[in-house]
Amino acid sequence: MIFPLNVLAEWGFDATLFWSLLIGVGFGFMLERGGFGSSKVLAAIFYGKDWRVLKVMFSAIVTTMLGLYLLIGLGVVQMDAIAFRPTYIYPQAIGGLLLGFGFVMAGYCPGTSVVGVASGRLDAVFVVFGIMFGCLGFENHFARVQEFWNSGSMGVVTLHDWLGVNPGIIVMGVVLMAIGAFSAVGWFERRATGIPFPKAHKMAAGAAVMAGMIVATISFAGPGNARALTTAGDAQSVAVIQPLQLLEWAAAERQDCLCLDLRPEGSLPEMPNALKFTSEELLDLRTRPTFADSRKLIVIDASGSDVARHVAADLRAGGASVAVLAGGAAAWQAQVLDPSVTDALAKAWQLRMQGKSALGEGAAPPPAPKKKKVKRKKRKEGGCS
Amino acid sequence: MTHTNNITPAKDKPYWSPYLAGFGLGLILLASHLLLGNGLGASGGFGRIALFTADQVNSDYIDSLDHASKIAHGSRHVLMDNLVFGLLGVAIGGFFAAISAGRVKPFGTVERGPTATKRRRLLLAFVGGLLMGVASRIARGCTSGQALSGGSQLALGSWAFMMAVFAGGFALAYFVRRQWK
Repeated sequence: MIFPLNVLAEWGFDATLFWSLLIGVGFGFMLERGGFGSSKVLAAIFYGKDWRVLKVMFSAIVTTMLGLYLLIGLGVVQMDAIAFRPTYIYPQAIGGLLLGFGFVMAGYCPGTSVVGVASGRLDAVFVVFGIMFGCLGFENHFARVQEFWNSGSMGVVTLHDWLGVNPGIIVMGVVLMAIGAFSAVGWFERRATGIPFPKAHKMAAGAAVMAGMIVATISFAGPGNARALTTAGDAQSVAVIQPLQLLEWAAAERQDCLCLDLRPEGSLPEMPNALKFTSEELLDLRTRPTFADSRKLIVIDASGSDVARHVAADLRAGGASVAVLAGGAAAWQAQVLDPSVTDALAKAWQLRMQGKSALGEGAAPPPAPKKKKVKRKKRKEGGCS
Repeated sequence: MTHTNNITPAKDKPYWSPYLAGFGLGLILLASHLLLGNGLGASGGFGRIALFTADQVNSDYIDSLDHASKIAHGSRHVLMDNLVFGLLGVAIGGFFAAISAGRVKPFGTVERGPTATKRRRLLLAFVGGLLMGVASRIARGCTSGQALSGGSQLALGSWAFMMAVFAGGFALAYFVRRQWK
């Protein structure tokens, strides 16, 4: 054997790699059966001669999207269990443009070039070598492009987050867009060949629309996305909590709520039962800790700004029960800690705080939530996926 | 399915209907999300294999690169990665599909237009590959990792990427058409 299994194990071979291999086999098989082992077939789309690329790609996207959003809508799959692609809008747009240039020159994209090699094509071998040298070239100049590479970072943001609508609307929109595109290119093909539109295609389109409607309905009303009705990433719709309400909870020492303080370390006033996070940490699913589901999270920044609302909306989309402290820490200072307040509970709280600082002990630190294992960290460093 | 395709050579078995292949691809991609919590990717695997090779040739050079050395000299072997094994799988699956349909060409076949030279086609293939290598790194993924995986997740940046790929391809198509003539 060239590659004994025990050597693989020593290098860290595990079940994930096995599944990756198996899924790769399926991926390569489908690509080849779709015709993607041939550069002529792939390049033909850019000359309007054969729309296979468009048909295969959008059928795949629609299928996966329907499955994924069905399971998310039903609450079977948690959104933060999936590595959603973060948005870095400038590098993605420019990289996409360059990749398009390379694609039409090479006649293959990176994934299909492997299928081309497996089909015995020498031009595909040249593409593969080109890609590897290109990757090395990028690494060689990484220090120079790093700033651009990290520009336009928006965190994990989906089309429905961006547009502030329910995911169901986008799911249905993508299904209809794909069928519209298929019908349009089909119309051109029929005009050229005279072959009538196969009945099976009409039935498949009908089935896709039905499936889209079901997924969209579940997205609006299903258990997993009950929250999506109120969230949809709409930062303006997040719940707010008034300082005096938070004070009531703090005074009652409720253990089921946790304050997430976005302000820099050492900012005053100190918030009760609070953990420090940066907004970036909470917006990135790879660094966001898992909070116990039953906990109510209260996002606090200096003034209850849009950043806090955005973080809260994002946490809510991940399934947490979240509110933003209205007016932020400034309002807490003014309505609870200011010496001129008249509220009895606030007065009592002030005395309690004074007593604590007199005794030289701060508020007891809350139990730290378990940090999520950052097993996808590598991908972040790896760059491409 | 009765889809016909004038590009498919007559002696080979015809390709599947693109919609059927796309549906199958979609199921694989969904399985990947459910089993691995992640989509598919191709260029990341290429990047790792390239770094591994460069590291064998000149380890000091890789060490001198801040970003590359983190990947190449991480806690886990650079090749022990989902993307590398996925890529290996694509080669195996692609070969199996091609050979079972009688589509494996004698090695050395260069697919090109009837009057285009081999040299032109191979040069464009290599330069196109170079561009894609750089581009996939800049964009954090290629057609698999961004367009397909991110696209089906409805990630905003991945849709921007996908539109840009088509825009770039259509914009440059006219200038490289002679390799297919």
